[in-house]
Amino acid sequence: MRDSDKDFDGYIRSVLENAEEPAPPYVLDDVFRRMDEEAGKRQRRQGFPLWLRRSGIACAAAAAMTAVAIALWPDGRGAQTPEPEMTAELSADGLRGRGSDVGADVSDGQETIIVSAMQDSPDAAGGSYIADLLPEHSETEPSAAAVTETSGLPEADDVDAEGEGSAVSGVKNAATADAEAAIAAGADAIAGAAEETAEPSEAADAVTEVGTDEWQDETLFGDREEGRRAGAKVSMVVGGDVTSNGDPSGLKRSGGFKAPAVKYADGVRISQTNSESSYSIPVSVGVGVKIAFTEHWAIGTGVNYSLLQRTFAGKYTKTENGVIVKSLTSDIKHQLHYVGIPLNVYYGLIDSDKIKLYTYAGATAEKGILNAYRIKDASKYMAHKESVKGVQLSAGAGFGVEFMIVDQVGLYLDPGFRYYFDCDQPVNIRTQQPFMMSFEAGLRVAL
Amino acid sequence: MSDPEYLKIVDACRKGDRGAQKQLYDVLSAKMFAVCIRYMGDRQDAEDVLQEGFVTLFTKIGMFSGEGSFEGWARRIFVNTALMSLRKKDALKMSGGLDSVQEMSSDRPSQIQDMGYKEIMRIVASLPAGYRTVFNMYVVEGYSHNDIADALGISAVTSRSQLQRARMLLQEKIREKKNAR
Repeated sequence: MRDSDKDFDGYIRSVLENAEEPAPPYVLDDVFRRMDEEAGKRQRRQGFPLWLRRSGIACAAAAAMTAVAIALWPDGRGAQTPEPEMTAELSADGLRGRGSDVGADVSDGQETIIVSAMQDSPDAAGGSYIADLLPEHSETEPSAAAVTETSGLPEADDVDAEGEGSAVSGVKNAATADAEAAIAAGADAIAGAAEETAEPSEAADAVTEVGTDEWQDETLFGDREEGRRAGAKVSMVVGGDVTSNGDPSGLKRSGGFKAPAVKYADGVRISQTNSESSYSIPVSVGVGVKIAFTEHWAIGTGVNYSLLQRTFAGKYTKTENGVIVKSLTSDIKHQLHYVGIPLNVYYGLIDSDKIKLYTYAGATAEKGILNAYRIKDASKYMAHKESVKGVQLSAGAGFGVEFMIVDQVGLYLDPGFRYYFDCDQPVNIRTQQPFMMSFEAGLRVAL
Repeated sequence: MSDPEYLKIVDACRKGDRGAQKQLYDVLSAKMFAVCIRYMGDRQDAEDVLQEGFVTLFTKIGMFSGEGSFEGWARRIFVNTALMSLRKKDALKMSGGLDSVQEMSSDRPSQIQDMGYKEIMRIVASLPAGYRTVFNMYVVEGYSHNDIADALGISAVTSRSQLQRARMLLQEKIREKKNAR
């Protein structure tokens, strides 16, 4: 570059580099207005915070992973062959309910107390004693106690075979065919898993709905009729569920006692000395997602946790080297903890700005994560825990209503009914009363 | 304003403090408006670019790393905004030859020194868009011809020729201005 050009450029730069021209004051107002408009657009597009959207995705991923884990969970039922002598003895009695002894590993915290003799406690109510069916307690008592299953379900006093909304027609196994046929007779067929290791069934406990991806819908806050899209809509749901047959103070149902059929040598056995159990209302909570594929149809899944509790009069027996070293008779509190994956199909009947009405049906697969007993021992309690084999499958249906609190948050109420298949689970309200009414409530948040 | 003072305001602006944003506007608006006028050549267009530039500045202020001059970083935002606006208007057409322009005498600097900055700014703004853009980017902003070529989608050779023609035309306009007095 020539020196003259360099000098020229240098002077121009020195003059113009820091030149100033007063700007109109209204420009700043226009700037702030533009920023507010763009912020409002971003907020409408995103809906709820990113963490909520990601939570929904995380729930769906967790549900999928849990489903795979449950499907692949090793089922040791093949090793639970009952002892021939026990099987013959129990089956000969024609148990009203499922009855068996619980064999289990020695739990934590057990004391070793030598008890020379045990007495069966008479049942104050005068009911039949399942303990009568058990081998006599003696020093030569067999160390291996087998677990047997009855040939059929106990009678359910209040089974509502008619059940509006219909039950699942799947058949778990031959032992449940009669009961299930009665259920299916008065109900619409709902697709459900019928295999022992069937696909995850739905639990009405925690239903997560996937809402709608509405940020691209320009008519979201305008005409909803025009704004409905056939595309996928996602929402997240947090809710809880209770199932009951109407007795809020706890159900008293006759029922046997069923163990996971663990073959054991020396160990612990818990037996029920009274045919009756006092059941608490099962409670479930969970989260999930619901994805709408068309204007009316949607599918939902998630993860839920259920707690089943009952109390029964029972006996705790610990045997070592064929010798009963401890025996306690008391009220035993039994808790079962389940984690499940529901899968529901929804059909929208009414969809307005304020209220939505729909019907749903589906199935749930639940895996027991803890089977715990609390036995009172003098002034303290002993805990006894066992694993839960197999998967609890259930199916249900019902109607639901959702009240929109704000544009993207709704309060939903889903009454319905549910049928729990015989899946060889420990005794609980579901095994004794497989057909139950359910009531689920929670919040749905559109993502 | 020193860089540490800028950083305080920048931190507040990151949090969306409207008071801090107004303060930053008061500090930068005059200089940035001058930049916009130099590039756009028209006051109305310059106001639009100034508004767009500040929206971008306040939105992207979180991206300022704290290294280097904040004013220089902000100036680049406004230059880029002006270039985008010129592209939208399809104004970045490289101007043709200036056969009739006579080269000024070697005493150009003294002639220019007689003129105030506003007058020179107006003369630069009156150049054709292509000349004006290359001249501003090379002479005032200090971009290299390669950088200019990348930014405008032209070759470095074209950038040099445009710059030379811009100088010649600018010199002609300055002479005409001087002769008119």
